[in-house]
Amino acid sequence: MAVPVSQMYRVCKYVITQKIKNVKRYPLVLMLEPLFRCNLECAGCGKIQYPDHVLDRRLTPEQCWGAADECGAPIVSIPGGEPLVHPEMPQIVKGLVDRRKYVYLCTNAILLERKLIEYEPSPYLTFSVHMDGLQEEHDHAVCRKGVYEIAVKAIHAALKKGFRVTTNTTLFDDANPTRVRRFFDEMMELGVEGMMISPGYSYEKAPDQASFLKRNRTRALFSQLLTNRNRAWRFNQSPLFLEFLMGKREYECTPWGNPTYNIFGWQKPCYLLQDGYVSTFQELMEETDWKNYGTGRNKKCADCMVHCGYEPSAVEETFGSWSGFLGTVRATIFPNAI
Amino acid sequence: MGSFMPLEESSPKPEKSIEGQKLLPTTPEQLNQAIEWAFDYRGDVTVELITGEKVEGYVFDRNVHLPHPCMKLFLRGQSHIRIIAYKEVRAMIFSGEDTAFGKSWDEWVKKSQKSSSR
Repeated sequence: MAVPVSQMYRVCKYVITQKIKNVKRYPLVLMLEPLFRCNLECAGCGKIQYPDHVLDRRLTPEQCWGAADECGAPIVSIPGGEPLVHPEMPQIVKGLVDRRKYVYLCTNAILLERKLIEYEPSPYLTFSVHMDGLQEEHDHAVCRKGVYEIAVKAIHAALKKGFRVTTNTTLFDDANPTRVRRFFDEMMELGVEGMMISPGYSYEKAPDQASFLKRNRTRALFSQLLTNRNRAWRFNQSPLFLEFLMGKREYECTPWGNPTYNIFGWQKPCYLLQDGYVSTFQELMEETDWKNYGTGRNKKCADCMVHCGYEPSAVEETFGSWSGFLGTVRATIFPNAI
Repeated sequence: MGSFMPLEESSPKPEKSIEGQKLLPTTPEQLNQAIEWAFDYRGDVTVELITGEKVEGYVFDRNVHLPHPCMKLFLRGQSHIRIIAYKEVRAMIFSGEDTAFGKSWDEWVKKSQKSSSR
């Protein structure tokens, strides 16, 4: 498994506790967006299109910690924008680590090597480096040449200093399965702890609208990628979620599983859709009309298979029944058995 | 001076950018639609109030379901949030640049093809 045993234990304990308490809707990962300012303009990103004065706004460390305390999720993912642009990010991370949250700091790695000195290696801190494919594909996806090389160099530097490093990969319409499989080989050869993969979401605001995957194509692509997979590949994701991407399982979305907090507040209903904001986590959970969202219930959700909504569904299955648990064990030990 | 775009059944939003458009809603439905478009717009808007005041900012939230529906704006250069009740609104002007429109993928591809052919 890509995830350390201590983290697995913590997440298991957390989920089982929610089950014992009969909590129907619980957060698994807090998506904490402290800013939307970025040093790239990737064509597939719908997160950064705002006026300058909005891009200049940032969450304070106290707001970040407060959100983590309110939400209670054991894992905090910090996307953006580019989190390393935030001048108080080391403080934010330290406060979250002090709270024993497992922090995944998502970054395009352009600033990573320079900023490593500001962070301490910890089992609670992982740099999740955005890598969308081999050099040609990645530089094309981020709309700038040379970024892949910078990211690889930064990954080497972070690993050498003892940091946990994973990659996160978003796949679009033009993904070549043979090259993506080679990309997986390269990432594991770099020595990263694990990889996270997801189909891209068709943000309405992203410039490139033509390249987003539709559900059937998503399943076909991920089936090609993950069938007869190399045993050296490690994915830090639920194996049942990977089977979902391959079309082997069906899930309904769990939008409350990865609640989002940013400069506007708690985002309704999820990380990808922006249907309004509330001031507290409790309002988010109690006042969002959850039945209005999900595939078949909202046209904006029609083609979505992104991890932020469906990985919590897979985790719920793992802990929701013996068949789910045994299926997870089987998928972990024998990923090529299906 | 602009005029209000006609409401279509289940109309989500206009297909072209509405940058520069001025909307003068005359019914509650038109007002709701105008504010919905302002919420969806990724640029600053200028809200003309019935008092004559003009407020320019980014509409980041709206709630039509409150007893007194209102929208929230970030104002340039100010840290606080401005809350404006729907009933105070006379007109909406999409005055700021639409940051989500016109960034063509095709343009980027052309640029990268041009630089690699040098």
